[in-house]
Amino acid sequence: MMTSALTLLYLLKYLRENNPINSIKMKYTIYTIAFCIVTSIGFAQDADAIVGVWKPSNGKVYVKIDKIDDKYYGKIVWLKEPNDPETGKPKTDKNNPDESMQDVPLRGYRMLKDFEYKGDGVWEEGTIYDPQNGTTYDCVINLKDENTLNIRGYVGLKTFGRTDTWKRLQKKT
Amino acid sequence: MKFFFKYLLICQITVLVFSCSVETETHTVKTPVLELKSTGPLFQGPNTATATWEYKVQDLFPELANGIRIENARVSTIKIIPKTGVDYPKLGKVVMEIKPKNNGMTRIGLLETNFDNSKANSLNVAQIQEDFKKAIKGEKLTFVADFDLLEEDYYDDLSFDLIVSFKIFTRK
Repeated sequence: MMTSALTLLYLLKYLRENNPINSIKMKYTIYTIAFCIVTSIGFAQDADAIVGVWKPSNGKVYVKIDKIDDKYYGKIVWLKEPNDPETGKPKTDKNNPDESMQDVPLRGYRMLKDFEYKGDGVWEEGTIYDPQNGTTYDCVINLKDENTLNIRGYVGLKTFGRTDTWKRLQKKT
Repeated sequence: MKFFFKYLLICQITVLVFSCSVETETHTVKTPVLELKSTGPLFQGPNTATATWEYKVQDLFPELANGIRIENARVSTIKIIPKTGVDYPKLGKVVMEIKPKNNGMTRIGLLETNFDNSKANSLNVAQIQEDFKKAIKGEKLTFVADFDLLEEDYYDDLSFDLIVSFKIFTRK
């Protein structure tokens, strides 16, 4: 981002000194375009701040959040207890209301879906799935700092929900 | 007199039901062979591959000349085919999801056994599916496959052929 901003500043300086069209309108247009480019680069970088591997407060799983198309998704990449103690086999989504999907492995399960970045470290419009009861909740994610997320799952109104704090696995310094 | 009103009521309901029901015809629409690709390096455990299909709704129904009105759409088959001449690593179960341009991501299929590198793998299609009417109208679908890499790591990209078919019901 720093390099892009410097390049733009250099471009502006060059245009100011060499551009034969010296009207005020032209200058304002150039400044507006430059401002839009710089802000959009910044916005995209903020949006991707959520990307990485995160550990919920119970420490039972690691969730990797990445971007697919224009939205953010999180899937379970590690389980503290990967096998079902009853069967000894890898845990599956046995509480899924759709019986045909109850054999989906929990490792690799996409539990966060369809999050859109709304600015100010907030991702909304997504859902979180709780494999323990097979229920999907509406969800909002807040980036508290670059290594901490507040994940709030709720039903209907944000007031009726529960917040969990997730920590980044590999801390950014 | 009582029977007459009862009869009249039944007739009215029947007329109402028939006038509201929509006559549809079923079309099977198949994607072209899509490239389902996962960018390496890949590590043991869950990995993701994606394929995107962009199309024009009009092109899906060349036989329908007068305006297309989609009433319902469902995924009917999902096939992942290994490319010939590629030395694939050992892969486990595969979960397939669909991400329409205008809607959220939904799970559509599961390969319950380990992936067979020597033949086309047909996934079990989800019994409970949402109506993909809106998704089809969006003219862009991204297929997202999550698969388990059973070997330690694989330092190359991994590509498969993917064919998905839909049952689409249009208004007559």
